[in-house]
Amino acid sequence: MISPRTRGMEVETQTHEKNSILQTEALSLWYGRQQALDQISLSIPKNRVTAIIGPSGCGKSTFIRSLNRLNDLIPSVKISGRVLFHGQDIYAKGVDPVEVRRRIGMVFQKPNPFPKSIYENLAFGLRINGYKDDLDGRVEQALRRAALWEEVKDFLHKKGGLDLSGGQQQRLCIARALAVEPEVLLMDEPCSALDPIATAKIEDLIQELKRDYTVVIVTHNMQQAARVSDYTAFFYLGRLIEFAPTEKIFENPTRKETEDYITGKFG
Amino acid sequence: MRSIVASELKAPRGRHLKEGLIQGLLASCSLVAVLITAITAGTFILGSLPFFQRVSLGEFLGSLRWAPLTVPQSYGVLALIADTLVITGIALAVALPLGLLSAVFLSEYASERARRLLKPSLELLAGIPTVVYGFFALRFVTPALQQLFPGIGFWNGLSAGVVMGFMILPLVASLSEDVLYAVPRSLREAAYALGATKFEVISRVVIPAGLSGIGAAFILAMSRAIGETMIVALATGRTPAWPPDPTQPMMVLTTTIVNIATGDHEATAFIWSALFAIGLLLFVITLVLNIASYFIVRASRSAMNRRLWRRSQGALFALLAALSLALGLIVVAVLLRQTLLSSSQLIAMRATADAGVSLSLRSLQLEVGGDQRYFPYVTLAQVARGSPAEKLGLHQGDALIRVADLPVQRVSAVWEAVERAPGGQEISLRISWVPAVKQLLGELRAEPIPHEIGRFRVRLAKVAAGSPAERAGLKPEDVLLAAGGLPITGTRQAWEAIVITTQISGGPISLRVEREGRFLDLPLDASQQGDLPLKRNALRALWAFVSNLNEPRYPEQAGLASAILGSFYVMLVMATVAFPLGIGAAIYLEEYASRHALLEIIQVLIANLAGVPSVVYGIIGLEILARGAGLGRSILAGGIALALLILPVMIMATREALRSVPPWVREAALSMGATPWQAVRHHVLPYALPGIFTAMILTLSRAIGEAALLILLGAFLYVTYLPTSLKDSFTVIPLAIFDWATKPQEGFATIASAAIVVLLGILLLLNMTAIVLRNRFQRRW
Repeated sequence: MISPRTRGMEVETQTHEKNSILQTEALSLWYGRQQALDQISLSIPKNRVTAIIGPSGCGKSTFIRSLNRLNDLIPSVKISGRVLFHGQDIYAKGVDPVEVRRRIGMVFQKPNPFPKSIYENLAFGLRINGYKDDLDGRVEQALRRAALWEEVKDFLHKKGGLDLSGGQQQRLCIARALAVEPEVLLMDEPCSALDPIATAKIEDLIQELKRDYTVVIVTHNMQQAARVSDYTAFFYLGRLIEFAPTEKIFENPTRKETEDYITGKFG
Repeated sequence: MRSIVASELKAPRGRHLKEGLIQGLLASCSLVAVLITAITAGTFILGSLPFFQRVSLGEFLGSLRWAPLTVPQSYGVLALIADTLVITGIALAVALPLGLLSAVFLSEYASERARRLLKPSLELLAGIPTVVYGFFALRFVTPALQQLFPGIGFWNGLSAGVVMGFMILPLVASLSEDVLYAVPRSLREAAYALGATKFEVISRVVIPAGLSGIGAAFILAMSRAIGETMIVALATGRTPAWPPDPTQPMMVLTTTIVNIATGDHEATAFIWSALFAIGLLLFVITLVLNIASYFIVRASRSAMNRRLWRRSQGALFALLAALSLALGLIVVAVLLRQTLLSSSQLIAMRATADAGVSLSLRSLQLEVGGDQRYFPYVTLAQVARGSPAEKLGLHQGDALIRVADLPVQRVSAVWEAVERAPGGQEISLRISWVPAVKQLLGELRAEPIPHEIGRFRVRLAKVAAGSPAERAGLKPEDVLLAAGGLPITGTRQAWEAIVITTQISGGPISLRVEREGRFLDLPLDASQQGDLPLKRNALRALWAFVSNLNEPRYPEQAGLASAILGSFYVMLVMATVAFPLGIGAAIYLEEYASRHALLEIIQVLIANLAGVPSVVYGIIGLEILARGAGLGRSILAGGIALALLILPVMIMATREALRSVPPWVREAALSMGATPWQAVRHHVLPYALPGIFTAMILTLSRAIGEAALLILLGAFLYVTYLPTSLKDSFTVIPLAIFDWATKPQEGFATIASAAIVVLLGILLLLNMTAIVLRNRFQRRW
């Protein structure tokens, strides 16, 4: 663990304590000896889309994977600091990561539907979460929310998740995550494997989703961050450099590193 | 705004308990591997203590002479080790290049259709039990080698080594191919995108990426060669050779163990401790080897990239790879064809058995012109009551001299005549025979000749009414002197001489007698003729063979029923123990265990246990299960011992299958709030099922053909009853094959072949099912 130190730079965060659903406090993470996150303190506003941008290897993916304790799966990972969900530390003793993940869903970079039918892809999450009645209705609802229903309703059982196009697969994964009714949806570069048309659909969808969910999206694509997000956090070398409303980040960043990145001087 | 109560993030009641229980259960499965190792090491160390109290380590490892039963006793294993290494070297020289090239061909060059066809046939070859390869070496390869190199002995190491090479080839090829095929397409495409040729992609990308798996295959192959028992037990003889000369008989470590275990020693005899000493040695050799290879494999993962060959000879390489595969398949196919041909004589054998006769070979020993000469002839050892043979007038003890107008001097000549006679299933063969002495002549009396010890004058005491002797004009009190020029020196020889001369002349013979001081030559027509009805029916013969009990004396009547049932019960016990344990352990190691030191140790142990020769497990089974737990030579002991043998292989193969399910599947399931067990139960396990199924089939195939372990355990080579409970003693199909393969009498090689056909038929069926299922469900992620 590194001791908290005073830095010359004061990370400017707009405090939304009252509206925040997820907060990290001095979150640091190491892969073995290599530190990947350094003292990240960030409040993620509720029912907003928060984008996380930064060059490759800056810790974006690591960061959002630690928001639903998915990094637990990697044996060598060590974590310090706190991640508060509704004010409760999800890394506290006695907290079951399974319960955390039920409330904080995730969509991955590469569409990863299970090799089962479309219906089963959604029903799995419902069943393990104890939903027994009206599975069909819930499946439909989730598919509608992910704007996929019209395209797949005729072959829910006949087609496998892997038979769909890439963009449909990703929306299926979103539907799958939504089916269990999480409060937060983490998206790890959800469009990086998709074509522009599929990307546009997902982006529209994200706009829809923020009415009911809090979305955290990691993206490599600054235009995308500008288009879809309300807030943007800029990560660099494992540190949070700047966090502000998206317009501010893109039009008038406070920090020089942010500006350099936005204007394409590096990254 | 919704606020979350602290307890909401806690697991609901019972979840921790349930998940913990499952994890604990799975963890304990993987600890079985540690337990087996501890028991093995403990048993060997304790068991060999008395040995090393009397024999110094220096003598054991330094002396060339192994002679535990002759005075002065000597317990040096150096020559045994040398013989073992020479045979292993020959085997590896055959298997490694051919195996890897075959794998490359299958994975990289063969079309998808060819691959689908060839891969299963490789797996079938890998499933051929070693006792079958031993039979090949003894019956087919050694004779072929003797024609090529006349100096080679009937027992030799070369034949065993070469055959062993072909035995482990499919293992090397199949496992390597699995690994190569699983190398992600993206990796290949990345290399092609950089302008690499196909050969470069294979040599620089695919093979290095699959190196750990290929290494694992090589380890398995080498360990199996060193620990291989049945091939050497059948083909190399039991004479330690120094210096090691593969053209001559050799004795390896495993055959030494078999020698001791199957010898007739008191349970307290000192020689038993030598068994543990050699077992310990074998165990240590494989341990050192496997641990070394394990770490070499790990280390070479990164280094190998730089070392592989530079030069590209693409087309030639492809051809070489294809030829390697073809060679492996063809050689074994030829051997299998030989076996099939050999087994076809079973039909003729069963036809004679059905007609009511069992045959055996005798020979008349005479001094002719100062030389000892042997005249072989075939007698009817048994004639069944009410059979067609009895109706024809055949009796036990009669001599069969012609079948279908061909003289028979060997038992197999009778069967060959039956086999080749024209006609359909139902035939009638003209046979002629010489009745036993009472029907042929009457009663004989032997009178010792004074001053000539062991020689008798044979006098006819009574002439049987209506007998050929009466027709020939023989009278009571005639002295029989010679038949067709062969001297008569005793009562038995009198009849035998008549049989032999009748057989030679094919008709009446001249019998010289002395009557009242005068010599007479009487024409005797000793043979009788008749048509024996025979039924040649392949299905009937096969059914009789698999449904009859064993008959240790007459191969034409022997059956496989008790061995088949024994195999079935043993497999049942084995599967019940090994499959749940193996799958449980694999799930724990692959899905739950974090990568700490203990896991590392368990992994090394399992890899090592997989390479421990089956004879070593045989010693453990004998000491712990049969003697220690009091299970004796029972099916239960056999099944559990086999399960111990199979378990590590099962664990490793299942882990491979689990590993083929990509990590994102687990992440996707967990991110939806699945518990670890739910992710495994609903996703990882179902997707890995085809692979796990293959693992089960492969291990079952190995277990069903296992002979060495059961020989050590003291299973019988033949039993003449059907086992009814798990406590019964038993035999299995491979042991029946071993027993028959080693019997010198004619006909046993044929029924050994037939048993091989049955065993391979069972394996074929098993594998086909598995392959069809797997090809249908295998995923390429």
